[in-house]
Amino acid sequence: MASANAKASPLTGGKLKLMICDDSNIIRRKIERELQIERLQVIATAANGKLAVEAFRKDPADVVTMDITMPEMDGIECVENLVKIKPDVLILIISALSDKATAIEALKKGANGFLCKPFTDRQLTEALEELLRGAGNDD
Amino acid sequence: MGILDLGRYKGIVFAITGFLVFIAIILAVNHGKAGGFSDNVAGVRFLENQAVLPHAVYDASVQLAQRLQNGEKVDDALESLRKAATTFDRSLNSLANGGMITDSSGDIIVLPSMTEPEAVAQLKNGSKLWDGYKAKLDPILRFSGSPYVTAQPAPAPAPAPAPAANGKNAAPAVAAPPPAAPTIQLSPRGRRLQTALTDLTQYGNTVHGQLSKVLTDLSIQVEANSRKQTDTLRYIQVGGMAAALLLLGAIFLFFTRNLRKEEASANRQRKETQDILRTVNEGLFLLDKDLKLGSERSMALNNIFRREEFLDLTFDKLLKDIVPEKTLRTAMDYVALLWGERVNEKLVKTINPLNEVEVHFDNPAGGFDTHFLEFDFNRVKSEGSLSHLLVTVNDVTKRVMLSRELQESQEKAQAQLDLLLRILHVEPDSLTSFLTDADVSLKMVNSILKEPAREESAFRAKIDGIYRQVHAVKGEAAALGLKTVEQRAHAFEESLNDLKGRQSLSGSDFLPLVVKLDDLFNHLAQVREMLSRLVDLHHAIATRRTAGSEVGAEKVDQWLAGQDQTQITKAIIPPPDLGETTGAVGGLERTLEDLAARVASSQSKQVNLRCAGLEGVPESYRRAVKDITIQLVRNAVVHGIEEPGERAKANKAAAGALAVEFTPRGTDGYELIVQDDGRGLQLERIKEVAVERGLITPAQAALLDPRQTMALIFRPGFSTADRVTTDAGRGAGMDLVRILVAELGGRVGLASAGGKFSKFKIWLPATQSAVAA
Repeated sequence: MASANAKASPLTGGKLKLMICDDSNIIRRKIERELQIERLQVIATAANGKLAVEAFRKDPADVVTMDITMPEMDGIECVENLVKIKPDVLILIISALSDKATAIEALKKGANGFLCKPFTDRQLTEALEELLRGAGNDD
Repeated sequence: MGILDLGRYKGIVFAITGFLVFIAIILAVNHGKAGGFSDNVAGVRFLENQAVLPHAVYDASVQLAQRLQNGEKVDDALESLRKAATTFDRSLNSLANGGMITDSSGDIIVLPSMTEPEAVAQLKNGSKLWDGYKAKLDPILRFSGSPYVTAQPAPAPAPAPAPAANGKNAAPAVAAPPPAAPTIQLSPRGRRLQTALTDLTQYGNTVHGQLSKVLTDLSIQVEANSRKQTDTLRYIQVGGMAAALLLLGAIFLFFTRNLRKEEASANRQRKETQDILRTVNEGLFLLDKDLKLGSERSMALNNIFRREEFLDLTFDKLLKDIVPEKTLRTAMDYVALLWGERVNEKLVKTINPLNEVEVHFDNPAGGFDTHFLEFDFNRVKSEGSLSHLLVTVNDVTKRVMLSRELQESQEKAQAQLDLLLRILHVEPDSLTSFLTDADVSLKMVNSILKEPAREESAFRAKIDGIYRQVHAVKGEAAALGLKTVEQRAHAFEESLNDLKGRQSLSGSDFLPLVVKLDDLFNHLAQVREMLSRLVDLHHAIATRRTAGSEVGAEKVDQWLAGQDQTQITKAIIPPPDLGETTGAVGGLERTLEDLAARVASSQSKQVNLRCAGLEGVPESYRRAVKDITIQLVRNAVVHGIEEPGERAKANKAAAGALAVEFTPRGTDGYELIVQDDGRGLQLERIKEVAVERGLITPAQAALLDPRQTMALIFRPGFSTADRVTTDAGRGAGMDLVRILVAELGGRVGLASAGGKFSKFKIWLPATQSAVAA
């Protein structure tokens, strides 16, 4: 089911499922509120990596925004788990740029892009659009 | 795509194909013509063969006539005649019928030349002759059976008269019959046969030669035709060869020219590329999957990386010696990410660890030069898959340095602005005192630094001495809120702490302190400069004020005095809450409260200041009242109010009470009272100081009564600013108070009870406006 969904995803225009994973309630709400891409539909939000993996197992999203520093399970480990469950999931790391090496670590585990906190609604939209476009181009 | 996609080779493939087709056509024509040639040879042979047939027919007819004459058997001779006649007839018919013949091997060959008009005419003529011949042959060929009668001897056949008449062609058919065989005679049919034969031989004697000639002529004609074809063939071959050579030459020329053109174009492109790579300011190179640098790269790289050799270099080797190990590792991870499929190139640019990376190049002097490089990576795709990474490198040292300088100067400007604002907040006298004290402290530090020292203990003593001075400056700066001064003093302290912590000390350890000291000196000079400008400004405006422009000058005066900060700060900070008291009186009260609190805090004392009636200070007295009250309040806190412990012993509240009251006395003017419940004036101490200062001799001091003693504090020189102390122990500015009051035409009264209180009572005359009112 998941792969069929993802196949339809990048450029074909079907609705895509988005999961937001961040330990900050403010950031989660901000992403949800400022999301201006009609094709993306928020299906889950999670306050840490562990909850995100659980939610993802039940209903795998097509696109995930992921914080790095979180309690219980951090973003790096979470990315690794999500990619194992669904290899073609698109993951955008959203984190403060204190340590580039950590961000690169998350990308090595399978994330697709990076957006630096703090971000504007426009930067968020552009990053997500680029994420979807990049997936389309790679095909 | 595929095998038919010939690309740039399309031209040459088409040209060679055309050439081969042309050769094939030539060969095919050749082959066709050569076939005709062999047909002609067969035809000539055939015609030559046929040319003897009329003779054969004639010979057979003569032989048959002879046989008949001799009474011999005629069957085989008749058969020979028949065969020869039939063969000739068939051949002639075939020739006449489009030139079809059958060669020796039985193949049917068509001789096209037989259809030519001349041949047709000849064949027609031949056919006509043959038709006549055939008419005469016909009865003979139809004969069968025996021409003889065997019952009775037959008379000798009459000699045929005709042959003699036939002239030279007369055959020997009528040779003399043999004398014997009387028993064999010609039957009537035989006689008719003989007659027909005679007729035939006579005709044939004339015609067979003509017929032979017809065929011989045809043969000659075919031969000539064949020769003509051979010639044509030769022409075609020569022409074909010439055309082939021409075509080949044309192709060669065409392709040579094209090759030259392409080569020129390739050379031009190569040169353009080289020009670009030589001229471009960015370092450009390609990285392959093994992270090896490509052979084509821009010359700027040599300058950027300070090396000439890039052959067989890998990216990590390029960076290894110039960036820290951790940065190199992160960079290699980042580059590896770009080679992967998952990462979106545009969405990882912000975490490029080589975005603005600090690098170090060894220099010949043995040190290193620091530069900042900016790397950018772009995926290069070829036929849909990632083939290289294009790396762009820029030396952004200047940019980074400029931005740092800009940031530093912005910070500096901000610090100066903060300092200025702070100075405006600080009560001017406090600031002057602080500057003077700090200057003395720092001079003392300087002299301590210069003191000779050899032993460890001497060094430690120096550190302690310096520490006390610097700490005092720091504490006072903090009390006044002069952050920038405090920070510098703090940094000085840190250096001292560092020295304190060392096991052993030497003279050179103190060198860095000189730099710090210099920094503090310079900074304090800046503060002094700023203050002096403000004072100059104040004086300039005060001078003009006397000329009339009172209101504006007054305002400047107010903000110089720290009473009305809105004037100077409104452009920089948000306007204060309108509900807050911002008036000049409120400003003075606040200044006095701040001052009392700050000085008390620095003296570890507690004080409650109560102000009354300050709002009634006339405009013309405001400045003087401010200066006076500040001086008296500070003196009260410093000298009058005791420390809480001491106060407790004296059964007083921990916080000293300090009151400032301004009261209008109608036409008698105004009364300003500053009173504290402290220890009162220390008369003995005042005498000591006065003696110390050289104001009086000890002998005079002994004669002074309390009233006279108290008056000493108003003497110029009693209060001096260059005392090596902080607020504590300083008695400054009472002569200033006396002068101010005297200038306004007022008086100062002083009352004090030891251990109980001090009370300054100042009378000021009524102002002109007050009198007018």
